[in-house]
Amino acid sequence: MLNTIKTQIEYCNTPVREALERFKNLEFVDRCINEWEKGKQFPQAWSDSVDQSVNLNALKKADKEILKAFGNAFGTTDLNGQLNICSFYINQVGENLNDAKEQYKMYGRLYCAMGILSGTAIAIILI
Amino acid sequence: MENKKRFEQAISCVSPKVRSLLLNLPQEIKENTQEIRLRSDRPITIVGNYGCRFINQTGRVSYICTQNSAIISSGEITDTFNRICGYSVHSNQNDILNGFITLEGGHRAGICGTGVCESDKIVAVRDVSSINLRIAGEHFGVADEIISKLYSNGLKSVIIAGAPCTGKTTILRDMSRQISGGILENYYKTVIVDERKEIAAVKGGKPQNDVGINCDILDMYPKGQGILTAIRSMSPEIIICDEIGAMDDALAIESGVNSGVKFAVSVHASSYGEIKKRPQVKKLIDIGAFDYIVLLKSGTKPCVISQFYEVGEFKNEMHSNNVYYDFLYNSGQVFKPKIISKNKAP
Repeated sequence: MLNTIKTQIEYCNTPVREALERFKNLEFVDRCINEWEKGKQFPQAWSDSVDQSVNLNALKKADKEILKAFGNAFGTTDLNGQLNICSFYINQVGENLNDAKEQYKMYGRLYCAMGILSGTAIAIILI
Repeated sequence: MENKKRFEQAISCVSPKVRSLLLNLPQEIKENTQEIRLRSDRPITIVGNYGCRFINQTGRVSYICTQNSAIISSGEITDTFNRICGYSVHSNQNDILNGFITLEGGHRAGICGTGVCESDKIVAVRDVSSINLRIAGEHFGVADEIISKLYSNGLKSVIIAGAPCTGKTTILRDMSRQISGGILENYYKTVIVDERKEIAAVKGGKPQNDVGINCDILDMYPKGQGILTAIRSMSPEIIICDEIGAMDDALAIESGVNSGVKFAVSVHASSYGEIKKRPQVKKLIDIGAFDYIVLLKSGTKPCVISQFYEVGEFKNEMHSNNVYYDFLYNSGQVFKPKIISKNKAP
């Protein structure tokens, strides 16, 4: 999403509203547009929708904070500023993703092994 | 659209607290307000045909500024600015650098702030301190006299000359509406080169002012370039543009005239004498680019015609005791006038 927005801004100078329309299928974007239309300030509408969206519940708090910070800065500067902002948050999200992947590598097998062991233990107890 | 609705449309981008104050203004004030001036941490001022007024915190209108006058905070100015931009400063960058943003309905928000300069050129504006909301008004029929007198036998090239605030742009807009709208029993193909968004006020690709059915708009194109683009790609019968002044505008018009296109343009000049002093206009008159000059009256209400001139007469008068110019093309893109003879036609 952030990459697409960056490209749209870079080549078409697309306004925020138009850029978000493409992602209306995402529940929190749709909610944000609706709130914004009702007269809320855009950063507020964005932040509230990130908090309230059920689909984003799986995200970590840090990830949500990144999304909120992006909403605060989106559309507030000139073209170069916007491109820098997009790049910054794309990197942040990338770093978080890498951390998550590493964590998965580290703890994935452990949790799997623990699950099998616990299951076996329960089975033995039941027998 | 009636004036009250125009007022309400224009203030829809103002931050909520100030908007509710403005919405509660008396009907008469709403109908006659032309400008709403918002300045950071200073009183809200409204300007109209009634003069300059202030709004109290209770929503009442006052002649003088008092301690009770409603003040707009710098935060509310920023919020209003963001709302005007649709929270997309990057999409409005050029408009901001030009000093104003066109809003839905053709209203304009003039922006004042701190300029960020790079080698003598403003590249950005930060810390917006003032916003002047100018409420647009359309005046239908102000070009009736010009259309009936000059266009009854087909299209003509016309210069509308007048001092600032004499209604030149308003007349051009009405001319476009009538010429491309079928008033002359033909929907003439019209192109407007709207360098400063003053004629059609395009917003999101849609003209906010009625400029006629068969009309195309080159929005924010530099006039010279726009005229050439129009000639190349839109096959216009008439091109309309505002405030010609630069040499490359004149050269582009010359090229258009040689392609058989008619022009309706405006020029800043309040008298004969002032038109004579403009080398680019003089050159165009010399080559027969225009058929008529319409001089507007200044000091009265806008769009009042003072005089019609046929260019033949005007040319004789202009050449009676004057200087003649030719254009030099420098190797770059700069055109400079050169005096080629004095007191005698070349």
